[in-house]
Amino acid sequence: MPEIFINGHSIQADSGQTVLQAALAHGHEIPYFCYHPALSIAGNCRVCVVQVEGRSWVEIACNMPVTEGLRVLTDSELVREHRKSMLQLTLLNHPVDCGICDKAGECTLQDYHYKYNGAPSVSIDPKVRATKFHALSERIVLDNERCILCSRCVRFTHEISKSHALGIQHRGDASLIRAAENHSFDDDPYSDNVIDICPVGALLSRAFLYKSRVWYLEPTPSICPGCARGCTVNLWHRKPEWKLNALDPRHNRAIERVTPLPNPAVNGPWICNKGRDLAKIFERARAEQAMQGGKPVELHAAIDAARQLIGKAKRRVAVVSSWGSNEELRTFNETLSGHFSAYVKSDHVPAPGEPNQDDFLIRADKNPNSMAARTLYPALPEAEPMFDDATDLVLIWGEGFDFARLPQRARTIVLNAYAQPENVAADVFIPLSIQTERRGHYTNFQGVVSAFEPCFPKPASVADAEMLFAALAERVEALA
Amino acid sequence: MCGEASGLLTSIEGKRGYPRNRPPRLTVRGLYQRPTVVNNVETLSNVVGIIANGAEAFRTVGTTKNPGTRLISISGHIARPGVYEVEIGYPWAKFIDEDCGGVLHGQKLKCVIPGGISTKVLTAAEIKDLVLDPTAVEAAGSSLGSGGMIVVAEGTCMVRLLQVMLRFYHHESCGQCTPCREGMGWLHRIIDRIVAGEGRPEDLDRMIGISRLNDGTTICGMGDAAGYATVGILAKYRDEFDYWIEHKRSRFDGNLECPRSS
Repeated sequence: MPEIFINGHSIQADSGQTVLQAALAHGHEIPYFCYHPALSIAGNCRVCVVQVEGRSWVEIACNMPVTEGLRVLTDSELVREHRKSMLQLTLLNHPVDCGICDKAGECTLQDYHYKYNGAPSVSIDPKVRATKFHALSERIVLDNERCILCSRCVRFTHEISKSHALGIQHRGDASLIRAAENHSFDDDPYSDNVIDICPVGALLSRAFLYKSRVWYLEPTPSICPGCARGCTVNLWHRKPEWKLNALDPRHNRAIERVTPLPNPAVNGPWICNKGRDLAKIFERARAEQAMQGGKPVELHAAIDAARQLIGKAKRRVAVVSSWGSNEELRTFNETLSGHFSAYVKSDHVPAPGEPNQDDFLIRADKNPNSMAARTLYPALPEAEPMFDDATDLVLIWGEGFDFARLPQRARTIVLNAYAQPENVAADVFIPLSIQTERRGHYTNFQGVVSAFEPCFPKPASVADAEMLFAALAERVEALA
Repeated sequence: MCGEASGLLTSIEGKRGYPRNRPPRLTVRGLYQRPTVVNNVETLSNVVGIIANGAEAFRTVGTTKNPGTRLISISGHIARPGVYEVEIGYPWAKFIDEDCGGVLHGQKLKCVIPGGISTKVLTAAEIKDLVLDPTAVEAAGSSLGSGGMIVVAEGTCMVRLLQVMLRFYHHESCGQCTPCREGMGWLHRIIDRIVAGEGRPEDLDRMIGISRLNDGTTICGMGDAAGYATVGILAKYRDEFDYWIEHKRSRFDGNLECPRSS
């Protein structure tokens, strides 16, 4: 543990750390563009300059190993002057079109300019022109004029996603980030991470392009339900104070974008592209109307009818959702499972063409909470017969159940959040809330428990599964 | 850029010829992450001689401090360009006037770029009594560098010469680190603008400022080198730049060729 001094403050650094890493770990700010904790050291942006006490020159902190007794200044006159000049050079050929840039508001170059430079350009020569709106992949658009060539994206595809899909063409100030011609960047299931790690607005999501200024949005911590990895994510949606009544009300409760919520225990700072498209999962057509025999009824009437069915039935089977939260599963277990033989089903299976499993994040099980559900109940058997002839009631919670497998004379209670034709055929249908409307926890395949928070209010006509299970179980024995 | 030692190794590895950050030094982690010594052929040939004939034999030529010989690749406005092996301490004027046949077409000498265009220019007056000895040349404010010597005849336009040099640096910059990538293009655009008659008096100080910014702040030595060349020429021939900016034309008709008659 070498002791080093940053601006005179003593720090216990880890041997093997660089000055930049040690400084950041102890709350000393040193600006940087090309450094990223998960990537190799490139040392090309030259903004993280520091001065070793007693030396008359500056050096980059990201490539300076800590040594016992090293004394470093991060804010000397020389450092300030160099940092400012370096930012002027970084901005020399940058278009400074923040007004129309999606990154504005969360751009490191913008922040550093205001913090460390603040001076107008000293150049009177025309800026280098480069490609704008270059379609780097089907998902990502690249503005080469905004690019500061920090090479984070290139290193990401070489070191993290291993697709080796990005590289730099040409040289000098004509250098361009380009994708390999074999379309490997289109096939990189982690490609959208380069949008997050781009320190400027060069790499932008085509799905989010011009959708919203980021300062109108706020993040809600959540979990990607796309597979058993359970990556923690931020769901970005409009701030309540920036609601637009003039717009389609759906705009005020839309997930505008999804970014990783860094989590060393599960996904680090990354997520896969499926996680970016959670809006496609959450914003499918909802079922919001309770039904009895296909006819709309009030929610409380449907709950009462379901109670009656449970009370009257002799042999009851429940098919439990692997998308239920730990809390919902626990409530089900405490209230209803005494009345049912319960099995867990896979609500979702891999879609055609979806990456099945790799050695990075993506798991073959496309459900977020199979782990917790299967510690309580066995998996639904694949082979027939799954229900014996005496089965006279089946409760189906969630999606992905093959209704053709139902026994002929069994009555059905269906609990589901999304519209599907079978909802109408159920004896009782009760609509449920979705993950973005409640809080809870999932247990991932490794046993790591993560939390998700609500970001939108639940429609009044749908039930929270936790409350519903308690209501269904209430004095149900008395009805027999 | 692939002549820089680490850029050379990166290039051999089949990657873009980007120079590498130090540490680690190449002798710690070089080619394919193994310790690697990179030297010029000239250095290695000297080693052969020293091993074969002994140190004393090597010391019989050259000066006490800098024994041996240097290979000088002389080009530019010179009657007999080529690669010469010169004993260290050899008189510079004699080397140019007698061994290399003097300045082309019998012209007078204006200046010499001693060891590759990254070394600071030395005027005819400065080299008159100088010897070809690294220590002596460094004392005069320049360096024998690579031994790539360029002779410049009287009547050559130093603004155009710097323009050619900066075009080379702009073209050659690998684009990896910010000061060189942006600075080389900026220097090139400024000198192009001066040559186009759009120069401003403050441009020259700006060029010196950009050069200073590159001094010691880049991954490899190229940024520094371009700065030395620029600062070197501006220090000694600033009047030619001021003339061009003021009169929107060259004092020497933008001449880069050596005139046949005077």
